[in-house]
Amino acid sequence: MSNKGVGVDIGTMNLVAAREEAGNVSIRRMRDAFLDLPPQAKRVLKLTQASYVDMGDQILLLGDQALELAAMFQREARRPLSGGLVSPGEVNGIDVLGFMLKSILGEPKRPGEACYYSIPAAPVDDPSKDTVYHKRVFHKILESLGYTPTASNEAMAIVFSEAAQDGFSALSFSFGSGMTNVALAYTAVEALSFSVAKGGDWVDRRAGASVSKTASQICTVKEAGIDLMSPKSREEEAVSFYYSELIETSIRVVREQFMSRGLDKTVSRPIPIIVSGGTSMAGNFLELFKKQWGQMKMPLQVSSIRHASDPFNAVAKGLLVQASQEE
Amino acid sequence: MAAKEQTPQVDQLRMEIGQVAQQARASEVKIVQLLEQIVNRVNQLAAAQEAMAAQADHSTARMSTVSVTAPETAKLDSEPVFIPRPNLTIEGSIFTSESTSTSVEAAAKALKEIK
Repeated sequence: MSNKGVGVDIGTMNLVAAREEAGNVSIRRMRDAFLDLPPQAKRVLKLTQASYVDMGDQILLLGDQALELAAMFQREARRPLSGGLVSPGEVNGIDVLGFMLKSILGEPKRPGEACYYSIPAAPVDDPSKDTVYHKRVFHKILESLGYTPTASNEAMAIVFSEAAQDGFSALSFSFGSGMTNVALAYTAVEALSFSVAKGGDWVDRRAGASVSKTASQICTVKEAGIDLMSPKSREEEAVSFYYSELIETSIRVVREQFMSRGLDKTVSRPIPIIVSGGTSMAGNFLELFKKQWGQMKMPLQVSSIRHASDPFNAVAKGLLVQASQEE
Repeated sequence: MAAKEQTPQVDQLRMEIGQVAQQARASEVKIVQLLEQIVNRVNQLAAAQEAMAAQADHSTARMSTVSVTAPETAKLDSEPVFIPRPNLTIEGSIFTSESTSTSVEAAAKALKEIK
């Protein structure tokens, strides 16, 4: 299987493209962040040998460089996506996303090459948000890059990359920065999908507000390494509390959705749970998840609860599996 | 005698004239100050109007550039979405991290069989 389509995970924190090459999957990743600066900043940027997009009236730093150099300019890096969706307040965001996608995808291997891109499910806890605009924006960006785009549910993609041995039947959780996506697949068919408008960013914000720290400071605490089952400081404890709340909310909504849709009667055999996403990489996240799952009376039998084998890339790889079916 | 009697009156009149002249000079200064303020405000207004006009020209120029360089996007104008401009000029090369992961060929084959 060579050059058979491409998958791209469009996340609030990262954009990840996956393409099959020489018997492996080639992954290209870019941080989903940018920084706008006045043209006068060029002189400083040349000294630091930073790359930038010159838009005439302003210059844009993209990806990791935006995050690294934001402090130097006493600014916060901007994010083109917010809460898992195209940020309504970022006018430059669309241009930035177009350029970033071009950087990680490159040119299509053939005209109209299949490109599956991830979209979240509509959030159950925020009816004011829908995914229509988000979906169409990315469709047009990818089309303008020469691809044939197809939108696909983010959590379902995890099933396609991680549950082949389970006959593509699994309950998957994608804990991202902007939101948490959940899907139930039964023999590769989507039986349920939803999202909760809370994710890693929400944990950082709420935990920070609780202990008088900024979200960035909490993020630093997390990145230094944290054990969610055994927090060692006030900040870590706050992070642990909000992680627990995030997991509990997601599991509770699964139970509600199962009951309201009568899925508890339909799904008769035990299925695996697959946990994925960057937010699930905090220390002992899976143990905390198992603990929370065990504490609730859930209306379905579970064969195992496991982490995705490649949590950062599971979505992009699942989208690649789907794209390969088109070629 | 009459001249002697008139002297205080003349002095009084002179004093009054002096006061009036002083008030006139003060008013004159005030008027000049007011005029200066008005001129400043007019200049500020003119500068703001010029800036707005320049911005409008610039926006129009940018839109024109887009329609020239990417004519295929013109059809999108009627749709409430956006105009993609992925072909921007860059200085240097934008950093993307690259890695490899295990093949998904087995999963792709299994999915094909199920379908």
